Amino acid sequence: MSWLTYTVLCFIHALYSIYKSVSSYWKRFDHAPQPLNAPRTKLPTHLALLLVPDDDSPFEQQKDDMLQTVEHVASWCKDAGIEKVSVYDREGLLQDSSMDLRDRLQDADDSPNSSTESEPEYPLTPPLSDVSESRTLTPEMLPPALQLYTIRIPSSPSKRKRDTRNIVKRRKPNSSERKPEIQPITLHLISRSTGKPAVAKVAQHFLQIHAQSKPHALDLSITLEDVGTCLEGERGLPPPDLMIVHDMRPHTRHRPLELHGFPPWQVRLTEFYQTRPDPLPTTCREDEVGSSSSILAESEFRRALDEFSTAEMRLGK
Amino acid sequence: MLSWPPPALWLQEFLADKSQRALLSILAAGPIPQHVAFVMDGNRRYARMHHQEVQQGHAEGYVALRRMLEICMRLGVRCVSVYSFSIENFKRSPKEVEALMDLAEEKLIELCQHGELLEEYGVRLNVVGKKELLPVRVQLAVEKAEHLTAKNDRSILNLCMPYTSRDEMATAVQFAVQEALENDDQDAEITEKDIDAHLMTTLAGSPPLDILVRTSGVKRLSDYLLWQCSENTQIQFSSAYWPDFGLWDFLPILLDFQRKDIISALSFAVEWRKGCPRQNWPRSERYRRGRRKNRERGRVARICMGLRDRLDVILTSRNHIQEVVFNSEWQVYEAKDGEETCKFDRVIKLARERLPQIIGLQELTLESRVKQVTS
Repeated sequence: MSWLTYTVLCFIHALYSIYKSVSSYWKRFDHAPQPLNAPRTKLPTHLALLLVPDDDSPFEQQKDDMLQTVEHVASWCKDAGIEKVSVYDREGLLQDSSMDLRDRLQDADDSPNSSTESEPEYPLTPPLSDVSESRTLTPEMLPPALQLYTIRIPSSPSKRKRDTRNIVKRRKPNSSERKPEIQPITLHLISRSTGKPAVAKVAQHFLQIHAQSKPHALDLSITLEDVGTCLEGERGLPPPDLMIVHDMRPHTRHRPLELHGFPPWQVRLTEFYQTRPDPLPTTCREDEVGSSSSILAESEFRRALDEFSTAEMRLGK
Repeated sequence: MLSWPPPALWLQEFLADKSQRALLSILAAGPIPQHVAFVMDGNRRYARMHHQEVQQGHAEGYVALRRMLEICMRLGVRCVSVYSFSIENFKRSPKEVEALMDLAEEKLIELCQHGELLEEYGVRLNVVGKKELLPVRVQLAVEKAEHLTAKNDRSILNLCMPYTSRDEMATAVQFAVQEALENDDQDAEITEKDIDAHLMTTLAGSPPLDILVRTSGVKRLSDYLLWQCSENTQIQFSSAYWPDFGLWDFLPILLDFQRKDIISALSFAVEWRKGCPRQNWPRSERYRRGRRKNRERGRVARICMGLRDRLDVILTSRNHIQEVVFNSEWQVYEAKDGEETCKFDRVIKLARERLPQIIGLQELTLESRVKQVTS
């Protein structure tokens, strides 16, 4: 009776599809998220954005959508007060377009006070040299640098009207006394090579150190802290507090969360937020008139921040 | 209010059990994940909600574990991993930690007894984690429990206690470096595959992870299987507390997994119809087709595409090889000749001879299947 079993299974799947469509539709009527600069109990210090590009659309369109998303997110982070952002895409498309991104971010920041600090920083050292060269180096070898491209976006005073009810009026301060209202944002661009291959490189690094000093030591001990310092330290990627996973293919956005090769070490305590599918394909959101549905919506960004502020961290206790 | 008289209650339970079994056998007709992991979160909040002691919440959690384990075994899931105790959980109150250790000691032996759940489904128990941190009495119970189930080979249960994923990854790095030092190969390069091979779950024989489920509405991984779920794993967050988690909560998770599989299979079938040459076969595709006899040659070939980078080619012939599993580089991953694992070089030779014919067959059957599906 296997044909009957298959039929019943298909029927169950059909019912499930209807249920998912209906619940996705009902989510439209959820409460609107709070504005970007609304006070929240908790804000992420480091935000990660995982983008899954739409392989079906042309390459230029993919690149453009991703760059536009990153540009928007950088501006939203400035408004919300988030200082560090990492943007991940598996294939490294963003890393390849880092110069274009830098230009876009500079164009977007049109303040006369903008400094020239926004040069992208490329990985400091090339991949590990071969063993014969490294043997002549001192035993104190630096841990390998992870493949992350860093862009520092300078701050500019926000042009939005701030709530001035409780601020005591002062005379206009000198420029030397003025403190910047918003910190500069550090933007990291990462790809799959920052993840599992980087852990392998750290292992290779330890192998070279131990091969030099004690070639046959079987009682070597590599602790969690040793590996953590290499992966998360100065030359590594710090752990994100919140990750927004955005699938730029609208027809697969209803699928469960997947990490697409994001660096595993750093996501130990990261809160995840997955952007929702569009309930109707032709829905036009009020705040993004004229934008493509692949680009991350501001409402989803705000909703992610709201969810993060209500998350409870127990840390094992 | 009158309670049900005993015979009717028995009937109610009997019908519930039968309908559950029927539903599971229907679901088992579709793609089933090989490895499912659970983060058993929410025992304490469940206990507080029901005005019970925390220990009672953990005991209810154990009941839920048995329930889910049975469901997974009936579905045919090959490996189940559960996050019982984190190394961070030692920070909890000594009273609670002591109660958890007592529960672990008692239930480990109970699970592995003759006639019990693990024996019924042929499940091998592995306790994964830094066991030296456990009290001696629990370590002895672990050893005994693992020994009792060592011969079971149908499925695997990984009980992660006390475990953190970072500890597992750091240990894997250490083992990989030690192995390279022992081999004394000056040009050795440690790759991510080496690290993967030294992970505790891989050493316990676990297949790649397909689904990770976290209960109680928390949307974090909390240092669980970070390496394993980084790619090709669906991470599902359920709002139910773990003691309440059951088949109805698991059903949408399973259906999501099957949908992904079916959609991949259909898209692959459509690509194939466009004449996609072999070297451009898309990865991570899966489809399943029925058996077709190749009457001319007297051989039967059934081809299933595995998840991720595996291609399962099943060859049955006078050489009696029943299943060969390839990865995308056409390297043999695993081979079974009836009950035994046969030699790889023999399998490779046969596969190279027969693959062209199998591809021919595959084109034929896929085309007809696409016609069925798209019409």
